[in-house]
Amino acid sequence: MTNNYPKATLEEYGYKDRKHLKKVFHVLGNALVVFTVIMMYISIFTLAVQSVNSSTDITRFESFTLKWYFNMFSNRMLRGAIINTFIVSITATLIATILGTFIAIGINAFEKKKRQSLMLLNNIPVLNADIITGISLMLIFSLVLPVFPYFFGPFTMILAHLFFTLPYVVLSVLPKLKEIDKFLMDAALDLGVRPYRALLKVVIPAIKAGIFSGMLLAFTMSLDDFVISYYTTGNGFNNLSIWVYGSIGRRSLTPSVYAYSTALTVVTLGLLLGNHFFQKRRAKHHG
Amino acid sequence: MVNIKKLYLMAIVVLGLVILSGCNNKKTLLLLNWGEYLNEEVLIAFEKETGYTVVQDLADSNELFYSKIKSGTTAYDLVIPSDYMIHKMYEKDLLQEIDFTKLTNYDPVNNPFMEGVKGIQSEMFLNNERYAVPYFWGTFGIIYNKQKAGLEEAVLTHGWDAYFDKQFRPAGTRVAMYNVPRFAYSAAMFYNNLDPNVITEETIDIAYDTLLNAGFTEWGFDTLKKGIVANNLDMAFTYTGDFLDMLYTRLDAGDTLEDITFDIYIPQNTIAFMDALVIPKKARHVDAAHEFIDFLLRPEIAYLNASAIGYATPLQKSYDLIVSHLGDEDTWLNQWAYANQTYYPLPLETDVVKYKGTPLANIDQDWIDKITTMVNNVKSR
Repeated sequence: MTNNYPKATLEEYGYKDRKHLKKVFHVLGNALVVFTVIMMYISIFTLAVQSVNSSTDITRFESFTLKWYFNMFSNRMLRGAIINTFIVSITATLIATILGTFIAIGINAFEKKKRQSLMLLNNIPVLNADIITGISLMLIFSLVLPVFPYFFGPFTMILAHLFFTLPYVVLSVLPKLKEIDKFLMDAALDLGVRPYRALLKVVIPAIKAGIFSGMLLAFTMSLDDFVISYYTTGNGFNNLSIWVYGSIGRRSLTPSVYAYSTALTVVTLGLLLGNHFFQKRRAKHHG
Repeated sequence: MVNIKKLYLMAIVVLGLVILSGCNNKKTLLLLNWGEYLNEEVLIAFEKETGYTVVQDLADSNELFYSKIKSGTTAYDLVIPSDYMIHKMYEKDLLQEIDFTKLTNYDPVNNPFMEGVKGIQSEMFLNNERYAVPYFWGTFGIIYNKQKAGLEEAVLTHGWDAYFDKQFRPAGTRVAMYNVPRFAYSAAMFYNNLDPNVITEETIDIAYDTLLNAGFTEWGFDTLKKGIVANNLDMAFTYTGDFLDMLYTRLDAGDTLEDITFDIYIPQNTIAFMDALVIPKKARHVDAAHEFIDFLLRPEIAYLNASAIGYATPLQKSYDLIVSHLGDEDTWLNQWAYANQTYYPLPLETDVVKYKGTPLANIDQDWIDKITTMVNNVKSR
């Protein structure tokens, strides 16, 4: 047997050597990542720079100053708006977290069909356009106006925020409930714990992470909401987004708004980093 | 058992509502205003003097003022809309007449309004003076960039022609228009020597051709004045107050008048506007509203307010106070006086028409829609 046939090379099977391109793709990929990150953060960076610019003129940087940070609380309306924003968000988040957790536990206890229909009801406010939610809530609240002329204000705004943050809490608690053992509650009851105590001491600690993430979600949603707040407030109770929106009308915006946004970004970033650090340390401790 | 619990809950809710609504019942004045359109010092002085609490809500357009009053979620005591919106509110029966006997500072003889204000009032609907007290007023003009060679001369000699016709301005001039269809339409009408308040199918066609031929590089709002200052634009039709806002910003930053790289040309035929205080029919604190109007009619208060806002004061006495600072050692006061005298000039003895500009009238929504469509067609071409 002669075996003098030439050996087929990979190229003859149609393989093309693109190894030299690998470097190009690598560079291109990295450039794209850098570009994307820059585009995402350039706005925040611009805001931060503008917040320490002594000139209100965006087109040129005059000198470094912190006066806009102090002005934030000397402008009466801005100060009020910031305080109102936190009052509404914190109240709405707390109520939404408590109610949402119990609602989720309730929904989880139903059989499948009922659960599905309830989830549908829960999802409608999530999917609905903000403006429709806002206007329909306004119309409903308006029904009370003849009896309580000063009804619109903090109360209606908190109710509205509750309305659109609650479904998110439910949505983030439910998966956690599915994860835990179905008979955890029964086991607790068998051991002689009373139902409410079992709920507080056994079930809630097990779904803590879900509650916490739901709470954070609700808080951030509530903090930056504009559309719904705009329609459901009144009598001079404005949150920050409403104030910013209204302020653009006749004159330029005060840079204190930039200062507030920057401060908020820094605080959020600090919290995230702190959380990250904390978790890393804990992971180390537990091996 | 369950029923009793429900009853308790109901009682608590109702009680809560009563308490919440009771909170707001003290001596308040609910004001619906533009953003940053009232000097906080004035507000504090008023509160100190009268014991009222002024609660401000903000909106960024006349149309929002209208919808906020119409929806009734808040019964505002005082609103500051512009000329044509005052007309619309009047027509829809949303305004109540102002009781001038309660305004102790209202004195047309010793405390008169500016000629420009009277001019605007004379062109508004009949009896508008009885429903609206002027707050600030002003004109529109063509703000231009002095850094563009030959542009200043072109604007000053040709006026509207330089703005709309490429032949009359240096090549490569970047022209921008205010992104409000009604303003764009009016500008086109002024260029064609037509009345901006007369709207027919033919005039809309004329406006379409005019706007299309102008070759605008940008349609914007707040961005226009900033574009001119940053040397990204050369010409724009905008509020004179916008120009002054930028001017004061530059002056505050330490620039002198010689350093300013932009200026404004105010044609004889342009838009004039007036924001005025009106009291809605549903207002609950009518006395407080009157007191506040009266407070703002004091020359020194109007002066204090104008010092922070930058638009033109409606009161002749306040204007005199401002202009009296000409030549003052304080550079800011001096320049403020200069700006008022230059850009809101008093009429000369020889002038036949004692004021500049035409206020926009209230027109039917159908026509506004048609103008909007026309402008959108221009933009998309």
